[in-house]
Amino acid sequence: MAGKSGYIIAIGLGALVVAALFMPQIRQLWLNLRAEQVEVPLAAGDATASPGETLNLDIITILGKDGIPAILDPQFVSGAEAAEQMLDSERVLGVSINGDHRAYPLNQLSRHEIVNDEVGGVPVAVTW
Amino acid sequence: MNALVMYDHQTDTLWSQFLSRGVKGPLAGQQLEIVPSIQTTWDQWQGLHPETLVLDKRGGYQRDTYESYYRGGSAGILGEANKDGRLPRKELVVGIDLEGSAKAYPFHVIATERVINDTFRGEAVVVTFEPVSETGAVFRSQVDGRSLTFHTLPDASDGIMLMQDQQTSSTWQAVTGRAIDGPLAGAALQRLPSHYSFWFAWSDFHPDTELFEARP
Repeated sequence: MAGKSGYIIAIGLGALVVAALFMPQIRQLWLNLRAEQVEVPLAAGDATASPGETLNLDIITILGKDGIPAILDPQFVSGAEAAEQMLDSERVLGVSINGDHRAYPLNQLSRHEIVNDEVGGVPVAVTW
Repeated sequence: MNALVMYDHQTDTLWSQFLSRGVKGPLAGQQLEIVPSIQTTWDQWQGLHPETLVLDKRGGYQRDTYESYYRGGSAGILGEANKDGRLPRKELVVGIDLEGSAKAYPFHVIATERVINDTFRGEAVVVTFEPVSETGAVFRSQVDGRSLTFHTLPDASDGIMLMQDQQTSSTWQAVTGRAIDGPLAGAALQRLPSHYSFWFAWSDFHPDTELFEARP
């Protein structure tokens, strides 16, 4: 009996080692199995597209809807007020429309990926 | 292809961020207009636009969760290989994408050239890049029907990169395309939508992209 459970432990450990070694491939296979194929018609304005040409995309759901919460009601501070929360070298995405200038710190965009905002009277989605 | 897909609350359409187009649902095939934006440092942005507003962190985070991804070797969530070997997959490029045509300017060229007078779709353009803050932009080089050719000016002490046009000797902010001195003071170059991204993502979404190569 002792020998038999030894085998089972050895096989179990072996399987764990194999799984760990091939983790990236297993993960990719699993993601591809869940992929959803969509055909996107190329836009009419595309100079390089022939009529009826489509682009095939795989949509893979890794996090579901709102898995990364978008910002719906962004709040802003002035540059002077931001001094205590911003580093000089920190990266931002900057948008200017109709004289309205806004900076979106990339570390916030990495957490939320989308900010729904209105800049200079124009509704925009800032995406990262 | 590795990039964000988002949905809208009103119609539940799925949208591809990189293509700025609806890909599934009632608005599939519709295009969102790209608003030019620049990616830069807070320091540089505040220097260019002192009156700017900033998204309030509300006591939130300082660290960027993707810091190690920016600097590391992995490319995308699927970890796919670089399909277009013209550049290393994590080389950064300034890319322009206009009505189906695309062109990429690699970091190793723009960081040294800083101002590139080029043509894109038969039109004269100027590509500018401020290397300290890694800020790039692309503009049409025509102002009031007149084509301009630009060159860099010596570094300014405030870190705001300046350039000059050969035709009128006016001085321009290279990153915003605004003339601040000389006969054209007050004029603004028209910005073209461009963005700063990794080569693997750019070439994946724009397989026919042109690649700017430094002139010998």
